[in-house]
Amino acid sequence: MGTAPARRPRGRMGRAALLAAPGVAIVLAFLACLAAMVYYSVRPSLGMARVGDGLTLENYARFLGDAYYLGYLWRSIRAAAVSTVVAAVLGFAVAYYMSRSGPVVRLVTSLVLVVQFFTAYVVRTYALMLILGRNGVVNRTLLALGLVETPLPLMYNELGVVIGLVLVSIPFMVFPVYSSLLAIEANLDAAAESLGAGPLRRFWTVTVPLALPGVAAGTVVVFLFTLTAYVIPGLLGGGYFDMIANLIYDKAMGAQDYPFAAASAMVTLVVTATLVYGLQRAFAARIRGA
Amino acid sequence: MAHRVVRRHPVAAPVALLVLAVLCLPLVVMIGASFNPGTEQVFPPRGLSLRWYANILDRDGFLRSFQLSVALGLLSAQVSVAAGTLAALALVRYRFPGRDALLTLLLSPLIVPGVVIGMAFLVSFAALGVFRSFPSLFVLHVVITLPYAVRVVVGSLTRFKVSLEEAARVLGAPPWRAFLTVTLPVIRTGMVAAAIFAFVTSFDNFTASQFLVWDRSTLPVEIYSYVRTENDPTVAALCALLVAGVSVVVVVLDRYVGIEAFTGR
Amino acid sequence: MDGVRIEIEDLGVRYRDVQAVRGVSLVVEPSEFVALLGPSGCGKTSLLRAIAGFVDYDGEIRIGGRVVDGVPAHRRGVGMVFQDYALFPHRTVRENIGYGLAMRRTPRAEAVARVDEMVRLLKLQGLEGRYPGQLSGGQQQRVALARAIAVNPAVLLLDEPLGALDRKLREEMQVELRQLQKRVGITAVFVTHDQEEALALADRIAVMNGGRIEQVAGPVELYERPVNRFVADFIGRSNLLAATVVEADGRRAVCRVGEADRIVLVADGAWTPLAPGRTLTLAARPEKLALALPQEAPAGRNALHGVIEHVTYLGMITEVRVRLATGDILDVVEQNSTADGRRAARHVGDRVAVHWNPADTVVVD
Repeated sequence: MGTAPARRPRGRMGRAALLAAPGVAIVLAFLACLAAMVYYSVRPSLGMARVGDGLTLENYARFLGDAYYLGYLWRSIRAAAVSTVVAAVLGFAVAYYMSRSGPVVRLVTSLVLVVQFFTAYVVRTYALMLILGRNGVVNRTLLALGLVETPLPLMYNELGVVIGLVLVSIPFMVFPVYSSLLAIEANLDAAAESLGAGPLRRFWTVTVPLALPGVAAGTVVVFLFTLTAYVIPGLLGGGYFDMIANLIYDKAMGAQDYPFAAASAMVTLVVTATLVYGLQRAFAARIRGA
Repeated sequence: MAHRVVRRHPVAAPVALLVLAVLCLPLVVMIGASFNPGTEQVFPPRGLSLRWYANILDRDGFLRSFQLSVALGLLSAQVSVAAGTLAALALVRYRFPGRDALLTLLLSPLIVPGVVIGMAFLVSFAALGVFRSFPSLFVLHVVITLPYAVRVVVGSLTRFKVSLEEAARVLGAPPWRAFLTVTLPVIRTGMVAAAIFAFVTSFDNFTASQFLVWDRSTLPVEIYSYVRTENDPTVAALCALLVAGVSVVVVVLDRYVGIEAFTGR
Repeated sequence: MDGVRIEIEDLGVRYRDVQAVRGVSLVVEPSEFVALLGPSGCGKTSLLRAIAGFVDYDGEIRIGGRVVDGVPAHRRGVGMVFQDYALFPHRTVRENIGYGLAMRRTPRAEAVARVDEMVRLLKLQGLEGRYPGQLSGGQQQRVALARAIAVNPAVLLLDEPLGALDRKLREEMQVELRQLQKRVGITAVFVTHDQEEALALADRIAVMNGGRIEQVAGPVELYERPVNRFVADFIGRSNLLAATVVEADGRRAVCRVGEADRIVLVADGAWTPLAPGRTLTLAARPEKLALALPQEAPAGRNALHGVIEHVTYLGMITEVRVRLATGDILDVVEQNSTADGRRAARHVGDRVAVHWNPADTVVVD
C-alpha cells in the first residue's frame, strides 16, 4: 500500500461525522419527540387524547396555579431531597468500607451490589412490600419481640416511600463514590497521619474532599431518579403518597389529557434540570485542585 | 507480642455491613415467600411448595411479556452498542470543534427523567398515528440504552493504547484491518460490558415503557400490574427466578469480563 | 535543632505469612543520616514504616528515649517523605506545607511565619499559591520535604525520595538534601535501593537482605571492608576468587588459587590466624587491580595471569575483562587519565598479569 495522501482536516471531520451519524440520528429522533411534547403542552385539551387548534398556555396555568398540582411537585422534591441525603451517607459508608478492605470483601460486596443494580426496581420494590407491610417481616418481628403493641405503619405513607427510595438508590450511589475513593493516591492518608492528623481529621480533610467528584456524580443520579420515581411511590405509597411521575401518568393514560400531562412533564423537566444544575454547581465550587 | 498501632475502620464497617444486609434482606424474604404453599405471601414460608413456580407457566401474560422484554433487550442492545461504538470512535479518535457538545448530546437522554421520555414518545407516536407497538417500544429502548453504550465504549477506547494499532499498521495491515484484528478484540470486553448494561437497562425499564405498552407489555410492567391486582406468591416466584438469573449472569460476567467493568476501575 | 536518637531493638515485622523484618537492632545517633539499603523485598521499607508507626511490629522502638510502641503514627512526631511525594492535590503548596501545623492548631501568625520560613529554606518562593499538579517533579519533592519538617519532627523518614527524578536532578537534590539535613540537624533515616545514592548521602549505611541487617558501617568501611559476600557484591562490584589457605600466621596468610598461583593476604588489625587447608572466598575491587605485561608484574604484589577477553571504553574509565588460566574472570577498571597510551595497550587476546596490593584483598567468606 503506497503512502496515503495527506488528509485534510475536512476529510477527517467527514469521517468522524459519518461514524457519529447513527448515534446522532437516534438522539435527534429523541429530541424531536421532546419537541413534540412541548408542542402538545401548548395546545388546548379536548380530552380523550384529542387536541384542539391554536396555541395556549392554559395547561401551564392550570398546573402552576393550583396548589394541588404544585403539591405533587413539592412532595417529590421533599422526598427526593431526604432520600438523596440518606442514600448519600449510607452509600458513602459502603463505598468507604469497600475501598479500605481486601480483595475478597471487595469482590463479594461488588457482586452483591451489581446484582441489586441489575435487578429491576419493580422487583426490589415488591420485595420491600413484603418487609414493610403490616404483616411484613419487620412488623412481625417487632410484635414477636414485644417491642411494639400494634404494627408500625411503614407502608402506604411518605415514610415507606422514602425507605424504598433510599434502598433502591444506594447501589447507584456506591459505584461512583467507590471509584472516586479508589482513585485517591495510596500514600495520602499515611502522609496526613505522619503530619499529626488523627483518623477523623484525615477523613474530613483528605478523604472526603477527594471523593467529592464521585459523591457529586452519585448525588445527581440519585436525586434525578428519586424525584421522578414512579414504581416506588406507586407500590409503597399505595396512592397515599403519589409523586409527580404518578400524576403525569394518570393524566396521560387515565384521564387521557395529553396536553396537560405534557405541560406537567415540561414543568418537571425544567424543575429537575434546574435543581440538577444547581447541585452540580454547588459541588463544583467545592472541588479543588488543578 | 505485636504492638498494635494500625486500627481498622471502626465506624464504617458495621454501618456498611448493616446496609448491605438490609439491601439483601428483601430479596431473601421474597425468595422465601415464593415457596409458600398457601396464597399468603409471608416469610418464613409456612411450608415448601413449588406450586407458584408452576403457576407462572399458566400465566400467559408473564410468558409473553418475558418474550417481549428479552426480544426488546437483545435488539436494542445490539443497535445501541453498534451505534454507540461508532460514535465512540468518532469521539475518541478524532479532534473536531464541538466534540464535547457531541458527547453531551449523545448522553442527553440520561438527564431526562424516564416519565418525561415516556410522555414524549407517547404523544409523538400518537401524533404520527402510530399506535403502541413493538417498533415504538424498540425506538424508545434504543434511545434509553444508547447513552450507556456510548459511555462504556468511550471509556474502553480511551484506555486502549493506540500504539497497538499503529504497530499493526507498520506491519502491513491497512487501517480497517488493523482495527478489526487488533483494536476490536481488545475493546471487546468493553463492548460486552456495554451490551450487558444496555440489555439490563432495557429489560428493567418501567417508567418510560409503561406509556407505550398495549395488550402486550414488558415484564416489569406485567409484574407491576400483577402486584397491584392479585395477591398470591406467583409474582414472588417469578421475581425469585429473575434474581437467580441475574445472579448467574453477574457471576459469569465476573469470570469473563471482571466485575470492575461495572463498578469502575 | 538538636537531633534525637532512634533505638531499634529486636524488631520483627510480619505481613500475613511473610516475615518482612526479623530480629533487627539498630541505633541511629542524634543528627545522623542513616541509609537503609538493599534489593527489593529486603525489608527496608517495612522497617521504615515500623518506625513511622504504619505497621504493627514485635520488638521495641525508642525515639528520643521514649518508647513509641503502640503509639499511632499521628502521635509519634515523625516526619515522612514518600516516594511519590503524596502531596494533597486539593491543597495549594502553602496549605500542604501548613497542614501539620493546622493539625496541631498552631496560632495563625506563627503558622504563617513557619510556612514562609520553609518556603525560603526549600527555595519555593513564588510557588506558594500553586497546586501540586502545577509543579515539576523537583518542586514537588521540595514541597514534600518542606511539609515534613515544618512541624519540627523528632526524626525525618524518607522512602526512596529521589527515585522519581531524572539523573541530573537527582544528583542535585542529593547535595541539597544532605546540606539541608546537616543545617537543620534532624536525625534522618532514608530508604534506597541505589547504592551510589546511599554512599553519597549517608553517614552510615545499613545493608539489608531478607529481612536482616547484613552490615552497618560508614561508606568507606562498607565499601573497603564488606563483611560478607552479599555486601561485597551489592556495594560496587567485586571480583570473587576461591582460595585455599596454605600457611598463615598472626599477620599474613598465603593462599593457593587454582593449581599454582599464590595470593598473599595481609591482616587488617587483629585477626585470628586461619587454619591451613581452609577454603576462603576472597574479594578484590576492580579499581584496585592493575594490568601489566605477563612477566612485568611488580614485586610485593599479588599477581594472576590471564588473557584479555573484553574491553569496554566508558569515557572516564575502561573496563577490561581478563580470563585467568583457572577459568575465573577478573574485571579490571582503569582510569583513562592520559588521552592515549594505556588504551593502546589493551586488546582482546593480549596476555597480561593482573596485580594488586595484598592489603586490598578482603576475606568475605
